[in-house]
Amino acid sequence: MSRPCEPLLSVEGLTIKFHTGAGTTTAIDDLSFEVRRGEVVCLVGESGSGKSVTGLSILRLIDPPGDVAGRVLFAGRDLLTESEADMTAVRGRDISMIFQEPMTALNPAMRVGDQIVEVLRIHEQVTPENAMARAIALLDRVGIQDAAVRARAYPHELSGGMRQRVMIAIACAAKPKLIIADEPTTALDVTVQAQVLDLLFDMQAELGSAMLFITHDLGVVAEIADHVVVMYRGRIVEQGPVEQILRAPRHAYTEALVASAPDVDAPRVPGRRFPTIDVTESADGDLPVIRSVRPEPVTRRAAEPAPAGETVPLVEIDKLHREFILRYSWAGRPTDVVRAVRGVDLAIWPGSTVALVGESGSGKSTLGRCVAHLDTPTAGSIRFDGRNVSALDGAQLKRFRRDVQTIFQDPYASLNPRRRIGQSISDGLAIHGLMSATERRDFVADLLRRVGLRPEFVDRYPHEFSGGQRQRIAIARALALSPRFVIADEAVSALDMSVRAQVLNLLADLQEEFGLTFLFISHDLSTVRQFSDRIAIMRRGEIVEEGETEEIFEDPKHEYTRALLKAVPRIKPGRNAYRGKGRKPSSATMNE
Amino acid sequence: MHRFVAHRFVSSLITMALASIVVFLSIHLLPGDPVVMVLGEQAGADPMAVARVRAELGLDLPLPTQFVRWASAVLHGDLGHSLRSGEPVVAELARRIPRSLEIIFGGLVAAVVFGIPLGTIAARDRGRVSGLIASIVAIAGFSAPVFVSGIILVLIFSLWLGLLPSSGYVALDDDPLTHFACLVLPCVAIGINFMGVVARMTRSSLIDTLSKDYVRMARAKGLTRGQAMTRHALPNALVPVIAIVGIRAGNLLGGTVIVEALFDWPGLSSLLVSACFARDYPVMQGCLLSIFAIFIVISLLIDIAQSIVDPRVRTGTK
Repeated sequence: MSRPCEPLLSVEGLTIKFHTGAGTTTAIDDLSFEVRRGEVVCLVGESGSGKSVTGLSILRLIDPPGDVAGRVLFAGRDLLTESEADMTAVRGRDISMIFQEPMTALNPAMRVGDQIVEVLRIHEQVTPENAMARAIALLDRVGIQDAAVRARAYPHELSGGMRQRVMIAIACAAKPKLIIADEPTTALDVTVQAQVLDLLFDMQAELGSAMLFITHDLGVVAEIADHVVVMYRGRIVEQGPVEQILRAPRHAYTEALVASAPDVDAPRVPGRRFPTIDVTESADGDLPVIRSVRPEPVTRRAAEPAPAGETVPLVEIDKLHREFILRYSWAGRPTDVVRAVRGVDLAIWPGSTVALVGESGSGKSTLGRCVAHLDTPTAGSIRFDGRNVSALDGAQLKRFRRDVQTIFQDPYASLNPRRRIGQSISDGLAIHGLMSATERRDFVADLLRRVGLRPEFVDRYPHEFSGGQRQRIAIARALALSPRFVIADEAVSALDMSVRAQVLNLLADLQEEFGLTFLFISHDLSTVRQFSDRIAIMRRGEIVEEGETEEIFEDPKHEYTRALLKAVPRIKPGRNAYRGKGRKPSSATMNE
Repeated sequence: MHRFVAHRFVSSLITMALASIVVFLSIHLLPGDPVVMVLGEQAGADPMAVARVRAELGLDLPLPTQFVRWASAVLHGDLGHSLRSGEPVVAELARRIPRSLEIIFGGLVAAVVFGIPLGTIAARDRGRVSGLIASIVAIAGFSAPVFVSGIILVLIFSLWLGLLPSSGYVALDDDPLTHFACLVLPCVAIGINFMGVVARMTRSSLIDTLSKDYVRMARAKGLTRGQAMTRHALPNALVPVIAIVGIRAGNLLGGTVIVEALFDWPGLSSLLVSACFARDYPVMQGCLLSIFAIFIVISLLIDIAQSIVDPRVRTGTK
């Protein structure tokens, strides 16, 4: 497809350095790309590739010690040489920005209507009354019901999806020529993501704006992009039309990125491992040598998950309820109750992986915590290895704590920052009185090797590691006590695709080796399809559908499962569900 | 909002009731006999006289009965009479409380008026000379104990410069100008320490807030750096500062003990101190009760102020 001729934004030789006491780091190195009128350009890369910094530098929002060089030509002006006063006129009016986190990008102490009014009053001569009327009309336009009432709401009174709609309203208020959207849907559930993308591109078509869309998700790229810029460590490794980037990538990194992107439509192959990105640092300080690695499928052990009747399940959840009472009346009666888990039945067979899939607030983490006996169910029972978990005490409870381990979502919050990782990993061994101190040290070193970290890391602190490394440490900690059952609560969600693949492969290998049983809690359907034997779909505290993985994907019975599957962005290029459609939001996009 | 205020008001009343029990009990459990104090050393040796005075004062009744009598009298505005002077305690308190509140309020205003800009400069100009100077001033402020900063202030402003009186009190009705002149140094002395706390809190809270997406968002909308600071960053950064001001405002009451002595200011604290030495029970009870009441009213006001600045406080969904 030929690109429209006139460039709206032209970034030439953009270089951003950060001067700190520790020296100078180059965040962005000689970046050049163009955005033409009405076009959608995607900036793609993993975390730390410099894509967000690039977005901010176009609006000249990089503060010292950041040092920006090069040229950012917008409609013929170099934004890097404009005065600060002229830039305030450009920001919000000519170029607007949408941030990733709807939770943090709106001022919590300001009514949402006022936050829209603000941008109108900065750039136009309007009376407060007129501005508010337009803000309400905008809220209505972005699909917020009862806009006049909602305009008086504070951000914390709105859901994540609604907040992102407010952000879009703010970004579109002054009818900008260019919208920079920095991962605008990453923090949202997949069905809400589809609705918000739908709205965003609907608005873009209406205003005729161009868009610079920053994302790590190639599925989203395939659906929205005209032109793709692939970044790696602050440099562009490749750019071109979306079809070319996704079908015939030229650079090894792009190829590896495309190969490692999860494909929700690929049928499950038992024993198959996820492709990873192999990086070999080059000696001359240039970009490292990158290649895609496709691990050979592993022949599954004989012990396929046994059908009911032959063995007993390792974990049996029976009519489980968990309610949280938020408020009591004066008489002491609960008046505000959240029913997080409502009558869940689930059986998990030894040696199998069961995935618990659902959107935020579906109760999947609460269920996981109940199973790990970290939370107490309101009603119902959980049996582990034939024993009722809530009745365990003394030695039996201690044994249970050894057998059942949890890997948490956030690798930054789940390791104690003041303890060396060796201590964190071996704490469990010490508590259970296993091994002598020297034996423990050797064992931990061996565990670190197993999860792909160097044994000499044992005396380091968590802050010295990247997110992926920390999650491996958390896995090593979970495995230290040779558990039989591991609950992984969104254990890979915070990781980049390439790191995610490595961690998942590791988990699968360890399952083969030790015969582990997994409860894999996730919202990511593509990963789940390859990784699990059975899937339970959760919604509003209930399991709406449960079955063999392929059954669920090939023949979903429940309407909600079908909606979930449909909403996953596909990497198949050319689908371009949103581009240039300019359609009005359907009724389906309105309800949240 | 109304519901929140009503809720906080009721819990303040409950706290006040509990506080009155504590005040009542603690005084009665203290060593030292007020009867002996009333009678003097000589007569105090006579058991008959002691028993008579005890019955007169109602001190021979069981504690719960004494409490009920005392509490109902308090609710009727009767805190008894001073054992020393025989004057009604309420009248004495009514003279003293406003004087102490003047110092506390003046100190708070000084602390906030100087502390918030100081903290803002320290946060905004981090890594520059102006930020460093602001930080040093703040640290110096809260490092100096009240009696040290008080003496230094007296040295500079009354002895060397001769601008303000070094101590003393003149009633507002008699001579308003001298009244306020006398008030300045005590307020600044008590406020300087607190200013340091406010500045440090503002600085760290603001640094945290300035890195928030909504501040960047404010600038992406087209606000200048200063507008983003005053409209978006500061209001949010002040939420924890207000909480600290509330907690520390209570401490200012403690600080008044030193300041009132240092500047010879006849307020509530100096009354409490002299009543303690004299074992003047009714006056002690009155002072303590007033201090509790001031404390509780301040925290109620602070909570309401916080709920105005931060809407999340109201619904408890923080």
